[in-house]
Amino acid sequence: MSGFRTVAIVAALVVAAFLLALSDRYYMDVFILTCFYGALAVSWNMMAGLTGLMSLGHALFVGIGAYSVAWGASVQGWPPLVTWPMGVVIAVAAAAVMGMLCFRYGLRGYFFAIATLAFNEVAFFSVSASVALGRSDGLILPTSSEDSVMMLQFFDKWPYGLIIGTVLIATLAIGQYLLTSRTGYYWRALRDNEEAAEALGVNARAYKLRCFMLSAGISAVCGAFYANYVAFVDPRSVLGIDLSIQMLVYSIIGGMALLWGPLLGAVLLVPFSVLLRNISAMQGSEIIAYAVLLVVLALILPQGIAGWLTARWRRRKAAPRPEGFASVAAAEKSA
Amino acid sequence: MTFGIFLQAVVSGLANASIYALIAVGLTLVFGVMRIINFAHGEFLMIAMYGGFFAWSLFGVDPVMAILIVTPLLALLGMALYGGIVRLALKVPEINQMAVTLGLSLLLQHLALVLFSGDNMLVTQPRSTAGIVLGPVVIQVTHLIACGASLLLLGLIYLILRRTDFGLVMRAVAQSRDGAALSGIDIASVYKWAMAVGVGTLGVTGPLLVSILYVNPHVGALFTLKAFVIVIVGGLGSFGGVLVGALIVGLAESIAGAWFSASIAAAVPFAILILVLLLRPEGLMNRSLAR
Repeated sequence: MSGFRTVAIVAALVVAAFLLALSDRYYMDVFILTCFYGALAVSWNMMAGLTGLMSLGHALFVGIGAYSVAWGASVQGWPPLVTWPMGVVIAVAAAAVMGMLCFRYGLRGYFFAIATLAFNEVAFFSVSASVALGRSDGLILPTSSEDSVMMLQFFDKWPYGLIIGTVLIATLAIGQYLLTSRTGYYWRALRDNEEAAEALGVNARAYKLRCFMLSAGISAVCGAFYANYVAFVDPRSVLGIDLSIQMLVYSIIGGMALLWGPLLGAVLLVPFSVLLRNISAMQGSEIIAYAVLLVVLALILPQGIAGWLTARWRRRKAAPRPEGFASVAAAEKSA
Repeated sequence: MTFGIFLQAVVSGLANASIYALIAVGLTLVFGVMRIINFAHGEFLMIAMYGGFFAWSLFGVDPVMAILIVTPLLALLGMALYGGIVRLALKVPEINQMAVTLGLSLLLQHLALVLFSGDNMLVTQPRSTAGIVLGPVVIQVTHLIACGASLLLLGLIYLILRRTDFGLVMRAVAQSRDGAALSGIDIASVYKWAMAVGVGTLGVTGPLLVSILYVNPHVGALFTLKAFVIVIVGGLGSFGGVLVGALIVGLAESIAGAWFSASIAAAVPFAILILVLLLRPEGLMNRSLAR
């Protein structure tokens, strides 16, 4: 049950960060961005790190969520109560179709990544050409001068922080629940050796599909939130490949073997890049910094910062007891 | 759409296809030999384009002559890339390999943004606007030069792969790394040279392309994606596949551009990729550089 304890600690830290951020609009904005990218990276990593399916087209699902809300609000006048579930349903359905196509042919590794990228690019260019979705200019959500809970429109930033913080904690809780269930063990078995898992009776296609759909659904929720928070969506911001790469960056730097690894990556990098953007006059300096970090860490620390920390921690805990080595080795292998 | 416009689209498509093929062949060569996909491939093309541009704007060197300077530089850059990064990347899991080359692509794009600014730059010479009129079709001279040079170089690469010991060694490593190593082939050196050739070919494309297309720091990403589509449509690691893939993508894109809008044309290569996934997935796994 130590996994649940970890999630509880992380949730407590998220709540503490939220309370601290209440003091200032600027901090709250950083908190919101961190939670947004953190939840996205955790959902991306459920596929990549826990099931071994590397997607480079996850922005597609964020875009579906964001555009459902933006289109619903600006064209139809629908409230988020309708458009959020709509976005999630469409994203999950899209993931189901994409997954069925890809897994039917056993696409893996690079091939799966590039296939998802292709789906994303088709959506990107189609939306850029679609008049109903505002072409490349994007859609602006209608705003009124008064706060409205129904339309998720607030002058203060803290209600948004509350929403995305809840999404993040829920994502971690769902992830942890699944990891300790049969599904989670199947996922990791598929990641480590698909042929062996199938030989033992794991229905690879069904479990990979389930993971893809769950991850897409969470990404769509984040996208829907983004549309309500920023009140503006365009293809570049919610469907661009940059967003997919960001999920990968946080996961690799944070650590992919652990559920909360990608969140650690986002916690370290999002405030860092906001800070760098403010103090450095050089355009894109924050991207240069994290690109260097990405290359170096992916080469010398393949398990990420979280993986490195936990391995150190385990080693220190095990050091006084020489007879514990075997169990530590086993635990590290299973992690 | 009249027949004349269609014919024009076909001719432009063929010219584009030959350029795409030369870009994609470097990517597929590196994948065939090393089993690594270089997401920064397009960024090296971007560097070569800037090389051609600055050779012209600072020293007045004709882009065709600039090839002689830029190509060896790019080949050296390829070797440095192998020695500095790819050599280490071969030892980490596939996801990390992808992260490394993606990170490199981001890094090069934004370094270029700092060094060269985001402005579009283009080589403009008297021949830039010249064209040869053939009935309803106009062929730009700059396109013709790029197309001819691409075909020449593709032929040269084919001959090297087929007829020389160097090519034989590359094909051997592509077929079986361990087998090649057991036969006494120095794998590291083959990797280094594959990278030099794979990146070096961009040294020919870059200067020629900058007379046709504006260069800016983000131009490479577009070509990386197109090159992916081409090599997968044709079969990763296959030389003939690159030609087929480039033809399909170049023609389809150009005809869709004449028929619909530019955004639709940009989506076409990816739609083709998805179609190939549906109809001929075995083409995806076709790795026949070795054969």
